[in-house]
Amino acid sequence: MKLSREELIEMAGRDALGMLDPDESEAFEAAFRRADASLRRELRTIQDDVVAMGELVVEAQPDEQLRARTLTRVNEYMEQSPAPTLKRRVLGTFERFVEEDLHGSLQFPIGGAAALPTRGDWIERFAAGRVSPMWRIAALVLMTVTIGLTWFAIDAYSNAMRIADSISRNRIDEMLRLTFKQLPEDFWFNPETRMDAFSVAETDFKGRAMLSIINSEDRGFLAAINMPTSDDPYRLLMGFDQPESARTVAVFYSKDGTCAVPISLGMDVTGAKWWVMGPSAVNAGTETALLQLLPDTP
Amino acid sequence: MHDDWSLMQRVAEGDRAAVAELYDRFASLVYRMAYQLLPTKGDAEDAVQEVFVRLWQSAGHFDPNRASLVTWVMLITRRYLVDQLRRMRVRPKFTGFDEHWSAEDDSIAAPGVAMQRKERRQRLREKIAALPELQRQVVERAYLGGKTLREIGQELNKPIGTVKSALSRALAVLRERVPSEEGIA
Repeated sequence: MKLSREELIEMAGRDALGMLDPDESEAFEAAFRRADASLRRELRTIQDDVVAMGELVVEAQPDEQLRARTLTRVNEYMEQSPAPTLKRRVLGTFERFVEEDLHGSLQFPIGGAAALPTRGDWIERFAAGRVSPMWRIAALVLMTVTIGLTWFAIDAYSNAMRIADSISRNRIDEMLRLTFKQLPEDFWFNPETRMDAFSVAETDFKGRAMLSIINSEDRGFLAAINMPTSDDPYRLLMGFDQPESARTVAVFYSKDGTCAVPISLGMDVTGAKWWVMGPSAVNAGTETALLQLLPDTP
Repeated sequence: MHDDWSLMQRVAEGDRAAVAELYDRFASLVYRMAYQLLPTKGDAEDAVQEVFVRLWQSAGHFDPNRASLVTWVMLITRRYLVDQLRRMRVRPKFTGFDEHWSAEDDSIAAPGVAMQRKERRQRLREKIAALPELQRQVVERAYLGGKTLREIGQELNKPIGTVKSALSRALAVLRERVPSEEGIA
């Protein structure tokens, strides 16, 4: 039960008057423990002031014999009953430090003489089956909800990752499909098309690549098989010296080891060398030439 | 605050001297509250004994951060008395505050404390006397009669909501003028 500040203040007065129902009393105590220090002070003040009306009741003094009878009665209880379970504490530095804080384990029971258990006791009581059915049901519901929410969160995250991966792969598939579609019909059988073997540095990949350059049309095509699959793009470089000074003529992806790349040359590549640069090396900061295609160009 | 906590720890441990000290401090207050509400002197004396048994039973859970000792004793006493009234299904000896002003014996208190108590009681009396009729009736029935909101509503022929808000307003008014004080027993 969520109680507003105004409701708590109203209930504090009725609590001091003994007018709260058991349910209300339980809700009030729980809210009191959760309240901030200033609200707790206010509630304490209300109760102090209400009970102060006790000073105004009839004048009467107990008989002297009542003292002896009462002390005897309490002593009898002490002898018959085990001492009440004490939650001992020492009012030391920590307690003084948190003096304005309330510990659930230190609360006295408003609704009756029976002691409210401490937090630690709740676990023991729950394990021993000595917690009321209402609390047991509440705990089970809470556990079920927690497990359900955790399962839902894991499932949702997993689905999101799958969808993201699927979208990414579908995009690469579509690019490959479109690229292969663009290849000239005679690409595979054209004697001008160079087929070169290549290997991937530091791996066992042994692939083949076909490169066709149509200088007159300032374009070309690259198709390769047995390329390491990666979600990051490869780059096809052409130049006359080293990869560092070569020009990127195509950026492409590999899917299941296959790639097809339309090339826009933008320069005369007669006598040029070509390199396929792999995806950026993790943590390297520079790109690593994974593929060393044969440098002989037509 | 620490002394009260130490006292209650000793009571919880079964220290008979501590129980006697607790009785000497609060017996008068508990008895007056019981005598106010319960039908007979015998009922009031039985109630005193039962309340002190309950105080011993729950002494280990007294928390000075939750309430002062006097408030704690009075809360437990009131709850016991209200339970008893409802169990006994008897009408409390309820009339009104102005017929019950007590001339309390402050002779055992230090002069300064006694003066403070006297002034405080006087302010409270004036405040209660100045309450609007409905609020005064509700407060009297709630405090002196140990009645529930429903019972008060039936007696005054008012809806529970009206009774509840009248009580709330009355307590708010009393609070404005009645500073809290500890160790009043």
